[in-house]
Amino acid sequence: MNDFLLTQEIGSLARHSMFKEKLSKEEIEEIIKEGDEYGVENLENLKDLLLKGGYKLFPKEIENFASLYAIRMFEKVGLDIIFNGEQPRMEMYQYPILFIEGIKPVGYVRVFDLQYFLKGEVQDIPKLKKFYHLEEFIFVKNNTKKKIKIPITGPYTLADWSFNLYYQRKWIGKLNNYYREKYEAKRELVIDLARNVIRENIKSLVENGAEIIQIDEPAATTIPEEVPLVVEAFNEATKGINCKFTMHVCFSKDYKLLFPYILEAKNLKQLALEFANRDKREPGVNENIRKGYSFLKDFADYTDKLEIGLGVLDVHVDYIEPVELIKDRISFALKILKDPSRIFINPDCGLRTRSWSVAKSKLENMVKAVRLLKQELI
Amino acid sequence: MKISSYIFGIFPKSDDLRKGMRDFSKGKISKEEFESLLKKEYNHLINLLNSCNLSYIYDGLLVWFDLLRPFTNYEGIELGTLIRWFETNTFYRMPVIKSKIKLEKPVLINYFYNELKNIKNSSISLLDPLSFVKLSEDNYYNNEKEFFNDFSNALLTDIKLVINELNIAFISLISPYLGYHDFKEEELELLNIFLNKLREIKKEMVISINLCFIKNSKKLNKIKKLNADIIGLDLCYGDREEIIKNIKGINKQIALGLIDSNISLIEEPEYLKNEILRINGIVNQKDVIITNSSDLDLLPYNVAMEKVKVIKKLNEIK
Repeated sequence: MNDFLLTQEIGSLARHSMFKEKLSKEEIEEIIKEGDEYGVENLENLKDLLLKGGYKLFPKEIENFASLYAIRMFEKVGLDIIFNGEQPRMEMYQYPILFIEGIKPVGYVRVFDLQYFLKGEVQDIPKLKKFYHLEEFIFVKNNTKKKIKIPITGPYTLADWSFNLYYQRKWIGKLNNYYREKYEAKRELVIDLARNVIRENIKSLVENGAEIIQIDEPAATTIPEEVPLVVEAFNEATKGINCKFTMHVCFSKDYKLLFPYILEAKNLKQLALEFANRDKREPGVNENIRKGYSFLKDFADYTDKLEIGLGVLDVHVDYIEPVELIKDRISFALKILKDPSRIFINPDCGLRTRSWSVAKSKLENMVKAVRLLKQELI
Repeated sequence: MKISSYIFGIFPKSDDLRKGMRDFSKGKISKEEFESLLKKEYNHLINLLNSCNLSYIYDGLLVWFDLLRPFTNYEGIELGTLIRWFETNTFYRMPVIKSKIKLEKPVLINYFYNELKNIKNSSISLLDPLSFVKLSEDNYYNNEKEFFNDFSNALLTDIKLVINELNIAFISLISPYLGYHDFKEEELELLNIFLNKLREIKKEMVISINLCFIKNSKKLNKIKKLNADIIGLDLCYGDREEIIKNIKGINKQIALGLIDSNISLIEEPEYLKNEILRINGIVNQKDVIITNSSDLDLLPYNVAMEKVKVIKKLNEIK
């Protein structure tokens, strides 16, 4: 009866302050106090590690403690489906390319203002050096009884955010059409990443008990013509694998660009999307107020099978969405989609750019809103 | 066949410059220290461009964060949220129009290297006013023509000072809007009013308008109506063959945007030479001009430097 409007995280939290190179005694005390609030075990051990040099000397132990902090925080907040706040990963692109043979960092490229990212260049056929999510999954599995969802950066986004030197060298000049040559080069890279890297990671996770995997494809609609390639890569990465697959897409110009192609993603069960960022803060459940969620009507027209991961928290602001506002956003979705078992509740995206205290407050209100709504529905 | 060349748009910032900008914004270095660093960076780029025998020399817009940012200093314009820059993984801050646009004091002069005045064939590069209007959020005018007129008037006053003070010989206007979107003829007419006034500032100044991210090339034959001396075409984004087909017989000087700003693969000079000959065989231009496809700051600094050096190598094999 309670298996509807399940709450989940999307992925990352900010790297915990325990990763800092230098921590004062006061800062260490604060970290221990915070852990105590979440119910983290073995805090004396953590305190000892932090006093003796912390992350610099004990990187694996600190990564595990940071993951444990995220797990216990999510449990305390009351999320139904959790992971580790991606604590061992420094970022969703730079982290995976460390483990992919054939992709090498080539230099910093501007994202906006003075924010840059270290962009990789594909210099050879990409191959997996090492399963890069297995260890963190096993750690989470051993440390929680909650349902687990593992976020993995998808093959299309990895390709779109990389320079494609190897395949462009192979293709350019071959078809007497630069546009088609570049497309074929990209397609080959995307499919090789799906087959050689993402699929291998997924297989290792499922063989070790993973039941829900989220493929992160924030770049999915950046180039509208390439949405079919996103789907082709998803199918290549997941075919024949028995697991619940979801896909996260965010900050798209228009989610309608995903359709109808996304319906060809054979193993896809859920689309988790960002909405709150484009919505108003006024309460209400009518469509004039909930404009940020207008895509849900198209979603309902396109599919009666896919679940929706409903973004109800704006991850780019410290504003703590009030319980009533979150409740109204979910009620609006319920009004359109009807079936509450198809609706999962989550932040718009990972909360990496917020402090832990802001992230926690936002998530607490999200869970409270769902609980209130469930009481009304039962 | 004579080959000329120019580079336009934001050039990537070196590691040193990015660090310097961060340090300066945090007060870790003084204004004098930052200006000294900036001068070094400008001169380094200008020396590179000179060594590659470019026809016009610009400053790389090294202090610009995005092509719209300086204009948010005009009265009536505020800084808005982050918006994706076309189909790239780069974002700009959308200007928001809150009241009538006015130029209270000169803005752009602070965004260009003042030593350009001592350089022969100096050039500047900036967004065209139509693209600015289309990429902004208008919360005041509700009338695009009025918005365009007020903005372009402010821009013309502002740019006049830059052109005169820095003795500018060439201006490259960047137009991602005309490249990417389905524009209307009346929008070209609006832009022409601006171009005519721009020409009046300095008659002998060469004006180019560079269409970036060209997706729909069917409309390209209309571009010849623009009162610009050179039309730059991004030949690396959409279907190059379609673009060439659609500009066949165009009665305008074309600049071939063959230096691909979106990929790290450095163009082989031989490949470029063959492409130039092939394309010129179709579009039949008296002079060949080669340029970049769009802003080079979609690339890391070192890669962009290598891309510029290709022009030098191309000149060596011609």
